[in-house]
Amino acid sequence: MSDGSGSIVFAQDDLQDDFSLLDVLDHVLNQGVILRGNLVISLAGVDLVYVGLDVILTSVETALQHMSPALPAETAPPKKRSPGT
Amino acid sequence: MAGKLKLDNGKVLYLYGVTESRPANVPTMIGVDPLAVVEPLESDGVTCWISRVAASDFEENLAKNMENLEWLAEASVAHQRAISALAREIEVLPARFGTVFRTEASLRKHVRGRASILKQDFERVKGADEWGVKVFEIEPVVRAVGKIRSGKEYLKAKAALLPKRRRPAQDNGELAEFEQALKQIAAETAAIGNVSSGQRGLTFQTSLLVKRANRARLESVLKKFAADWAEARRIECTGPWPPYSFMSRPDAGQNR
Repeated sequence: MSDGSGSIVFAQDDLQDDFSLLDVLDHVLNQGVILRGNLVISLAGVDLVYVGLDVILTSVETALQHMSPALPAETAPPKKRSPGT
Repeated sequence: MAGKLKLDNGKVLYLYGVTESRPANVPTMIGVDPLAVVEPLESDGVTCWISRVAASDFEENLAKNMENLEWLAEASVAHQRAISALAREIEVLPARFGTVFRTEASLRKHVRGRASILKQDFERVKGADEWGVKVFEIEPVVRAVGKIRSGKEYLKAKAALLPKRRRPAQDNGELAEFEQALKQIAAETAAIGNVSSGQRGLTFQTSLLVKRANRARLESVLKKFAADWAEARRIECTGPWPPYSFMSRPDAGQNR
């Protein structure tokens, strides 16, 4: 939501589900308490999150650009198609 | 017997977070697997919040599933919702998405091994929330200049706008001033943005640990800079988050 003073956007958990998926992923994948060791899952434990992260970046960005009008979009061509385009 | 605690039915323990005690009133929380509710598991003086999820989804195929945006979106939002619901009742140390244990015994063993670190973290985040702050350069609005009758004219018009996207060097000073103002309010700051750093126009991003008593000060600083920057930049602030970014590093106190 915008509060009208300058350009500022607040998204608050109090308002339920106002976070974008990008924000959720930023936070839930950032760190968190980690209890890991050699008895945790054998597939490199939670480090899988980071191994896979580079792979998912592109798909997340691409998908959100299509599904989220809040994200700055690529400068769009004129709606009325011009000859030769 | 610890050896008998290995979960059957192909289930593993998905960890959401750790609390110092078990609050009296906890809402029913659905976790990352919609078929399994979040439940408390007492261990060495703390309460771990877990749900029993399919090993096939969260152990064997976790990496593969995380490349599936639809799966990742549902699971990560469920993870966040469960922890936030808990955080409304009690201070919680949130687990990073994807923290899974095969058995109750292995979870207890690791809680025991990091008891002192957990205690320190409870102290660090007591009475505080995490807030995410981003600053975006506002890109010039594309306006149709006269009638554009061809692709060539469109490209020319677009090219004319490109230099305006570059921000002058002195902007760095303003962002540094902004960062400094935030640091004066926050108990701690942390780097963030593994996923969203590629957003167009994003020029500054940080995560703040802010005592709840300082929330109004944070909002005040954000509003001041937003007003000063007017049309040049947009500030986005999200929160309150559980303090994901302010947990001790995994190798802190780890017994290897």
